[in-house]
Amino acid sequence: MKAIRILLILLALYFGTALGAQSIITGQVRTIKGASVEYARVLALSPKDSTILSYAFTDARGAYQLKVNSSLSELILSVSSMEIERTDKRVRNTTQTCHFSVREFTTVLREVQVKARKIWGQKDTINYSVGSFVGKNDLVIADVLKKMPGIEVDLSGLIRYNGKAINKFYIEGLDALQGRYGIATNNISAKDVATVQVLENHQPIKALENSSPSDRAAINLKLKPEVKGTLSMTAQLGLGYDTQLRRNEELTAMYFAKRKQHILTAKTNDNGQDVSNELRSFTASSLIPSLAMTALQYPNAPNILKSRYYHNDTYAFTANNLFKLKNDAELNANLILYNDRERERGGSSTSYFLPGGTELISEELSSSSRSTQVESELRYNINKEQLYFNNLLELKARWSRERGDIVASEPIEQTMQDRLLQLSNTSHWVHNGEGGKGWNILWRNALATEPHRLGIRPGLYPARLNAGHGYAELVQDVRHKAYFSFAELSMLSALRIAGISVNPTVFLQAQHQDLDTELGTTALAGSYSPMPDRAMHNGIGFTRLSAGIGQQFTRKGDRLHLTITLPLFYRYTKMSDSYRPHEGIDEAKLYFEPSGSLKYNLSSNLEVRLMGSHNRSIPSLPSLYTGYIMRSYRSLSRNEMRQYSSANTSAGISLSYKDIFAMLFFGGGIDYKYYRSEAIVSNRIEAPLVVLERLPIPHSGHSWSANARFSKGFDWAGLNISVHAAASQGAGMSYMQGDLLGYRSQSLALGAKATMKPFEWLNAEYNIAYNAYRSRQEQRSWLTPVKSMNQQFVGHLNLIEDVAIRFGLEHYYNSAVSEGRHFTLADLGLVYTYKKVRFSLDLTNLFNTHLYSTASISDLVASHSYYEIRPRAIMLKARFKLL
Amino acid sequence: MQTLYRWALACLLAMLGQSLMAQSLYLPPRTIYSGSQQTLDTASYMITYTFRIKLNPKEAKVSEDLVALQVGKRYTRFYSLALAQTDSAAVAAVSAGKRVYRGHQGFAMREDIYQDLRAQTLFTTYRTMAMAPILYYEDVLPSFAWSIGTEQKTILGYPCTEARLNYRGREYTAWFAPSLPIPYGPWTFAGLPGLILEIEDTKGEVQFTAVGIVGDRQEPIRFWDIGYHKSTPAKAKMLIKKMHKQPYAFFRTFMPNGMIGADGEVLTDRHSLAYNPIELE
Repeated sequence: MKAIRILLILLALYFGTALGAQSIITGQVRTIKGASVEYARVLALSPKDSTILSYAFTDARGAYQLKVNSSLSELILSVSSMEIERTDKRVRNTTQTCHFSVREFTTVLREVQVKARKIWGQKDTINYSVGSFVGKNDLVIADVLKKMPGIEVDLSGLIRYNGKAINKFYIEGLDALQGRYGIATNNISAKDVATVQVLENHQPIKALENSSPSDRAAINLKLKPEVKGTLSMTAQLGLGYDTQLRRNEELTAMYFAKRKQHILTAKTNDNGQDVSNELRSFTASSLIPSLAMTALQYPNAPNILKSRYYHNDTYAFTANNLFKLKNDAELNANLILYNDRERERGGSSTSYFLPGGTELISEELSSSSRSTQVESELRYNINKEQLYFNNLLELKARWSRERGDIVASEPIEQTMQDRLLQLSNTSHWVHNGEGGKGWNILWRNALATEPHRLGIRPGLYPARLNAGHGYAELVQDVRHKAYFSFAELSMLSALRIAGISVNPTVFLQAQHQDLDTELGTTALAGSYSPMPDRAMHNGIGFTRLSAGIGQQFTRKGDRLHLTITLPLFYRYTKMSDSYRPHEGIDEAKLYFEPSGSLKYNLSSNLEVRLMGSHNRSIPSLPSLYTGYIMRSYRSLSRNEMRQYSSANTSAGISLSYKDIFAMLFFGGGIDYKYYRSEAIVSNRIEAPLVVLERLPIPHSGHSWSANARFSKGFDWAGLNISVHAAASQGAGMSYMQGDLLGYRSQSLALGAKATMKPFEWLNAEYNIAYNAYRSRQEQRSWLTPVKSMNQQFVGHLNLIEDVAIRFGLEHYYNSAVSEGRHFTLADLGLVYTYKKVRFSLDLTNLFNTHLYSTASISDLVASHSYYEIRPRAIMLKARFKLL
Repeated sequence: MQTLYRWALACLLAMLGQSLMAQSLYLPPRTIYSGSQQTLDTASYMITYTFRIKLNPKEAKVSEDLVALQVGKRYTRFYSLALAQTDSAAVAAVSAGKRVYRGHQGFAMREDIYQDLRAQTLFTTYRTMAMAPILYYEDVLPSFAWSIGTEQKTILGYPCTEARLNYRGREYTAWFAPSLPIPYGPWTFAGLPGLILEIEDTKGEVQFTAVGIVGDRQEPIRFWDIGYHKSTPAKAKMLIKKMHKQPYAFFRTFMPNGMIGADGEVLTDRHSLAYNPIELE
């Protein structure tokens, strides 16, 4: 129909001459002042319905010519342009000259701004526009990161991109925080950040970019120009009440410039806010493992937001400074001071299903602890394509005192004192020469000492420990010192065959540990004496040397990344114990531990990854000491001094897809693990005491797991949805009361999260997670599965300018809990911004719920525990910029 | 165990096969990573369009770019915003002493079209594949035989009138805004009594839709002062066709000793690229 109409018009125009005479109208368009108007549009319109009969544009002299084919007797001539006022004239439809005199006038254009793309990308870099994701109530950048598709932030503050933890966090390309990025995410204002960049496949060491490809991503915050080079200071004053007055005060100062960055924070609170999250490094790996051998028995912390149950009194100060030197080297100096007093209350009852019947251990625990921590680090770093040099010196000191009361069959008091001093230094030097050939030297050294002491009153288990005589206190004294050194030298691309570069590596690791433990008693009269039985003490000297050579084969193409590592280790262990002069280890063995990974980009959006590894582990000192150690008031443990080894094999395949234009991310994978070990930990229950011993019983086990995740962002209503699912199945062995028992377990986890902003005045976030777990012993039927589900809903209402209402509801369900299966928490908050001060009034735990209960049932153990959470509270905070 | 291996292998093969078959080879346009720009004019208006094209008419896949029309007193420029962004990032990186990838990641419109309204000429630069030269050719401003219809619709809040055109092998339906007396539009399309806010060919292979209009921002209309491969419209057309039909041979013309790895694949005589130009004739 349309086509016919157009054809008719065309015909009418074409045969215009036949129907009516063609009139040619010419003329000139000039301004009132006489200047000719170029590019003005002249239309010939029908007076009846304003249809366009003909049109023309004026030339440089302002002249135009219109050819009109119409039988109409009259026409309207209309002249306009963006620079002149529209002028109309009614004329007869005849060939004529018609000049126009027009007024200059600027047409105000009704502009339509192009919506900025929320996410855009270049090779290996994805940019998220913060302005497109930020909500009215988002205070710090962590609030916005959570909403970006593909990025996840977990409860501890750990950031994952496409399911994998990030390896670096930069601010304007500089790494001032050394992995403690909680300081940045929880303190940098969301308004100050322009773009969040995800740097995919990020190898932080430029000189290793070609030889050691990375599959991890880094995050870089790009700040708004007005933030750079200016000092900003923010303060928060908070006062509240629950059963007593509470406080939450903060002061932060930041300065970001091209050649220096400073971040200073000072915080104190006793209302449950966990500041230690900001002090934890998410990327550092400690060379020295924990040296603590004993611990207070604490109630099991619930798996909910820590601020719900954290009874604290915290003071924290951090100073992070980065200077860029003349040679583009970076100098970092960071300091952390932390002091905390924590109180816990809870209880548990644990049933052990033993071959001879069920043993039940119940306890009610309350404890308090105070700890002080000082950490400082100094780093010098040069990161160039040809040369990388990094030296990191760290000093850490911590001292703590803990005290706990237990109500079990009798009241028990436990105390612990612990001091730690640790010094470590890491030097890393990479030289990358012609054709990618070069070398890589890593040398790490660490020294630590941690003396600690556990005291238990009254003297427990007299029959087992004190020849049946009553006594006042059981004292476990531990002196543990360790020295670790690790050196690695590798050649980069020493050889290149068919695009594969071969990096031979030589490494050397040495460690020496001294572990002196003494179990003693304080008699009722008050005199202390060590236990006469030598089996209750250790006087160990432990030395282990590992030397190895390895070949690393890597191929880095545009589509294919392949890494195969074939290391051969020689491990020598020497261990002696002054209490057992006839026992000892003096053994050396060779181990081969191959591993490999392959990544293939099926397209620029889709990649598939295959990985596999095999390794053998031999026990470290905490699995070798032979004298008994009282690890807690109800756990007594020892091992055999023998080098049992265990072999672990794993393989996996994973797939990851991203389409940044569609804001779509998904992925998944399957993993298989198999282990075989020569020794097993035996559990012997002598309620309430659990005696743990490592025994030479070979056993094996395996597990399967599969996971999938999906995340999609929409332009509509700022909707962002993510879904994840995981399932696993495993089989293994345990040794209980002298019986070797096989078990199987299955678990399923499903979860979904949605954030959206359906209206300008409403922001909503919803989270749901479901877990199911069941297990069975060999030749028995499956136990009733434990199902748990939790849901969280948070909404922000902005009905009036400057006022926001926040409401949150959390619901937890656990099918194994007999009483209190459902657990609900509700919060209400009000935010009001007056001038530059942001006031917030928070009511937390509106229902004043006191206890969190949880339960679990596994093959051999069923436990039910509860924990006291923070009561209903009110807190008023004022946050404002000082500078 | 066996079943799982078989399953995993089947999955992998299926994915590999699909990616090789479904994904037509696309050679990214090269970026400009050094050189300076001269300012031709100042833009009075800038109109942003989404550009959608089916590079392979047989496939459902549509490639998309964000493109812009700058209108100045003497010159207009029509170009890819994505490519311009890549260019400026590459130039900044090179001047900072970094090595850069010389191609644009993903699809982008290869043409950068300038109209000189005074001289009544048109000049175009065309980005061939990475490493190969950028073509430059001049032409006279084309004339368009529009027929104005009566259908109306609103785009970006502006009432628009329909117009039809048969031009160089395609039939188009355009929508122009009579309230914006600017005689230009996307690509080289011009001459309607109002700004063209949308134009689409009747086969649904090519489409430009306005998504933004801004007024005077004193934005310069720039032109890269670099060494172009000077050509004529007819010769350029032949070269572009050859680049798509025989990319290997095309590449050899410029780099007699060269080989190219595009998407990790080494280009050989067997390869050809999907070719569906806007101007068919």
